[in-house]
Amino acid sequence: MRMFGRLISLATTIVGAASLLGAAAMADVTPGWEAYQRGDFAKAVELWRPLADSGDSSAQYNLGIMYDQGRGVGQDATEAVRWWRAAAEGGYAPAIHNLANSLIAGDGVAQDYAEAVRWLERAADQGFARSVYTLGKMYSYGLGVATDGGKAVALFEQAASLGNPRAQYNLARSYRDGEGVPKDLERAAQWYERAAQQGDAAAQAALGQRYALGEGVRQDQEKALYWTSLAAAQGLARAVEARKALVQTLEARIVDRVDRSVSGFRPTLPTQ
Amino acid sequence: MPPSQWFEMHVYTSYLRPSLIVIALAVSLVLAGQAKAQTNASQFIGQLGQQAITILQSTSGSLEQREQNFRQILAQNFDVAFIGRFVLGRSWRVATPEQQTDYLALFEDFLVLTYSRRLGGYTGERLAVVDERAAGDRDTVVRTQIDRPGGPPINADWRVRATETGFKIIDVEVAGVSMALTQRSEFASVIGRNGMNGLIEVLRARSSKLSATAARS
Repeated sequence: MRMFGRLISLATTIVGAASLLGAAAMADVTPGWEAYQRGDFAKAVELWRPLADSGDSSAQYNLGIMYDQGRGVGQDATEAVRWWRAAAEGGYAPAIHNLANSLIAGDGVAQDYAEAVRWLERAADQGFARSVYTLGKMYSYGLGVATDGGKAVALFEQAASLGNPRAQYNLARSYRDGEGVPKDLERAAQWYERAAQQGDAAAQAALGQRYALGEGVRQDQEKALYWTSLAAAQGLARAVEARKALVQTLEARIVDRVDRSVSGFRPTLPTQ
Repeated sequence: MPPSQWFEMHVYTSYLRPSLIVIALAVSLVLAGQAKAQTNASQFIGQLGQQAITILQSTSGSLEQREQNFRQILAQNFDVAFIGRFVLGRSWRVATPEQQTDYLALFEDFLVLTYSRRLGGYTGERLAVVDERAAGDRDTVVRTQIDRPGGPPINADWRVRATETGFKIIDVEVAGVSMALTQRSEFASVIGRNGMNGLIEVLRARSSKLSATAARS
């Protein structure tokens, strides 16, 4: 009977703890977010810290960001990792992703590719595109896993389909060069275009070059100038050079027309 | 009367030896050119600072969108390729062309992220140009003070070079420490441990980290 009583009290404790966690999970990170958006970082930290202490994953994750960037607190990469790890253990994908990247960079924690891969796989299982892409890079370079070009491209393909622009860019490059996949210039241009539409400067420059050369697309100098100009406007040095060369070969009225459409460009929203 | 004209007149009216006159003329031209370049370098930094602060403190759009705009301005006004090569030192020459391309693209992210986080985003931030001095043959160092409420002021010295495409920032010293030299020694030690691909992965990892979120768990 005493045994049974203990079990009941233990169960009550567990239920109590769980409901506390539940309350914490429902607590609102929005006021801190609003302070953060205003650039009042000290206030954001003050508002997120109690939520983080009580186990709220997004508050833990955000507090990790503040330590990582040294905003509202002194910069402390070790503290950042501690908070990301707490949120990652709760299965929170953005925290898993950042923790894995700290492990790769050796920021605030000893570099550990193998552990990074284990975390990336966990986020990838949730369909978290950025982690899927990073995992592809680990296979591509053989960091923490044996090099596996086929597996790398498969992961890029998955992340690209999930909408990640860096993965789309890398996949396009693989198709262009026939690395890990059969060479396919049309498919390369299509993936460059999807990343370019999301505002990826390198992809815009590459797409501009595809149009200039007529590789995988119908040759079109006006479109070449359009995409090259968008990349140049983002400060990409090689696009600035390429744009100069293109401008010299085109009529002034075409250059004017392109300049006008360039200023109207709005990137499509990335999914993640 | 502009100094150069004054010297020209002096040539015909004085009894100075021609070689001295040539030197004097050359010096006056160099000084005139330098004074002009320095003034513009200060204006360049002052305007850039103003532009950056206006963007970061605008109340429209998310902080991420404002930071994205800020990063674009930094990318346009830093000589990213020059700094990237400098920071890599002799490893640049032994890197493969593909490594060089990957590195430069990631380095740009790294550079603008580093600067935007160290220097920007605070409410009520202000940048004031203190003074300037010539550095080497081609560069000007513009000293600034960045004030932010609730924090100590930051002293940032911007090394600016006049290039074909206008002024470009090639280094920033924050509190007397050169960011380029700091990054150079950091990168050298990463390459020593993990090679060039290791460095590329470190940069990729840093640029891949996500920022704060409004989402609830």
